[in-house]
Amino acid sequence: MERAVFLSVLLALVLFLPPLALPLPWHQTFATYVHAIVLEAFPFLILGALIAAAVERFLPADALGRLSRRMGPWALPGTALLTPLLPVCECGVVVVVRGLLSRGLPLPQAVTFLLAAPILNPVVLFTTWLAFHDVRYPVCRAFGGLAIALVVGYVVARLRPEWVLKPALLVAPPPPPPPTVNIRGGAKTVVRSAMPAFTLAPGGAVRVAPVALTLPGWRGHIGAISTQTLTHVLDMLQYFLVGVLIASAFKTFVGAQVLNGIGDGLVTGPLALMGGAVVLSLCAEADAFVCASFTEFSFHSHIAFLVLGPMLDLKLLLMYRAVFTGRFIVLLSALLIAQVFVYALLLGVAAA
Amino acid sequence: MNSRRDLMLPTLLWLSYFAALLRLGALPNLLVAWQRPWVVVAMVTFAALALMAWRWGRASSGHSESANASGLAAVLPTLVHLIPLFLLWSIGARPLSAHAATMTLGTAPTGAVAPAPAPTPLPNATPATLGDLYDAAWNQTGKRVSVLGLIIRPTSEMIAGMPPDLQARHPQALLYRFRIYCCAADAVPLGAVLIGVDPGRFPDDTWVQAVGTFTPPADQSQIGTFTVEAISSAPEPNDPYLHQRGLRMGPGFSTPGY
Repeated sequence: MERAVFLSVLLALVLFLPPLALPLPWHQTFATYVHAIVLEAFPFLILGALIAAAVERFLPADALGRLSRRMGPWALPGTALLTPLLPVCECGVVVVVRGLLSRGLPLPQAVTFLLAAPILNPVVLFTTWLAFHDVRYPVCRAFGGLAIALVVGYVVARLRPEWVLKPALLVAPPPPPPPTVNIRGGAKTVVRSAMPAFTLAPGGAVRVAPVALTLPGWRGHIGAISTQTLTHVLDMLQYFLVGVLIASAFKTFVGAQVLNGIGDGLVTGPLALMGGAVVLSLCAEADAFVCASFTEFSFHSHIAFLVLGPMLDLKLLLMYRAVFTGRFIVLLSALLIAQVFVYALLLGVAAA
Repeated sequence: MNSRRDLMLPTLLWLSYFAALLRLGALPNLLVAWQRPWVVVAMVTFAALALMAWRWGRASSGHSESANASGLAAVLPTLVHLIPLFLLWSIGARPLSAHAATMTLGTAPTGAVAPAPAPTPLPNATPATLGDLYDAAWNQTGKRVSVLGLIIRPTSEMIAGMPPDLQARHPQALLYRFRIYCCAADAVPLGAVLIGVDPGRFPDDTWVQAVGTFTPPADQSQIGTFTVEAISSAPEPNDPYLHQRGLRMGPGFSTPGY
């Protein structure tokens, strides 16, 4: 009842009162950044959550695990190279990976998918070319993203899952829904046979547990997918929003102009733009255009920005909290920063 | 999210947020045109999912950590979902302005006390945007053009980043407009130094229509100059931002100090 009153008051406020329009200029800038990032990411969050919910609902438990075992040593590169078939942005990929993990995708493949998918997204590579009109940019971006995602995947393969994943994700995949009968309407009968659960009682007696016999039907499937999608979206939004608030505060009070003050050099250039990529938290589909506006910086610095941004930024760091432990996020950040920096340095030396 | 009711409260907060955004007509202030339909589709999908989950759904087996939380820990996730709605109600969703362009609050001279003068008739000229001037600068050099933008006083950092010959002319006003690619968060300001304008006439962030000639910068990373023949205040356009017409990024404000 209290919730209903609370919601009614809230809706009345929102729908009938004009905004207070607080007067300080930074208020406006900050709020505009928050709204813009949230709205821009929202379709990708919904899409990612829908994919994750559908995977969890329809993909047999451990199907991905069995496929992965069959692929043997090619599983990791195979996963990375297949990511363009499931083009998702960095905001949606975290949700998708949660769904894939729950269906038995091994952890190293999941992490590789998480890092490679936003960069190997065909739309992202096309906009990268569009922004620079130079084919070196999408090629070096894709190659760097692929190589770094693979290295991180191999590192994760040596770690224990409980060191990497949050406890909630370590639970074994839920069993498929029990075979059911739709009682309402009375037209349907048992379709699948059910294996009753046997337990051994003290004294050696066998007890047979009753088995639920309800058939979900299309309404059941839709209801379950809708609920699971909403759960994914709302869970992810908690982390995402905190990241957006931090990123927006940085953009409001610091801004990209400090990057120009650091200046471009073989070492300082990539470091400056890597810092910019983390702080600015741009969408991978648009970041190349902003990167191209940093005209003071050279090719290798741009690549550092383009490779690191979709893998590590303030909002992603918070979203990773929905999947990974804090210690793994620290390790992942260090690995990504070190590799991107070395990759950019190599490009810089090669170009010199 | 261990019960359907727990799921519905944040869902309703988000639906309220989307309803308020649409009621305020704020999408053009935040997103590029091609993004807006997708966002509306996502909003409608979200509402439909909420409806279907309410009608046919059952308790979820999600991974949320808040499922077993109690007290403040149980309330906090819902409060986080309240933030966008609160920001919208308390501040609104206006387009980016001079603060975002300078990032140096308080250093710009505040001539913003007098209201902007009423619009006055301007001589005929070829309409152009600041983006056009940089995208096709060499084709329009020396031609009389009419450009819409916002007024801003240059900060000392901005002036320090200009070429010496431009600094010697003591620039007192700039015309600028943001160009966006996906959303306001990736906006980049494009600008031109206004020559021949009394800066006291227009407060910061006044929309003006300026008629004159544009001189592109010698260096692509520097800012161009716009010699004003006539200038008048103008109404805010429906879409406050510029969008990428050519495929290549223009220079404009990517100078030190911006």
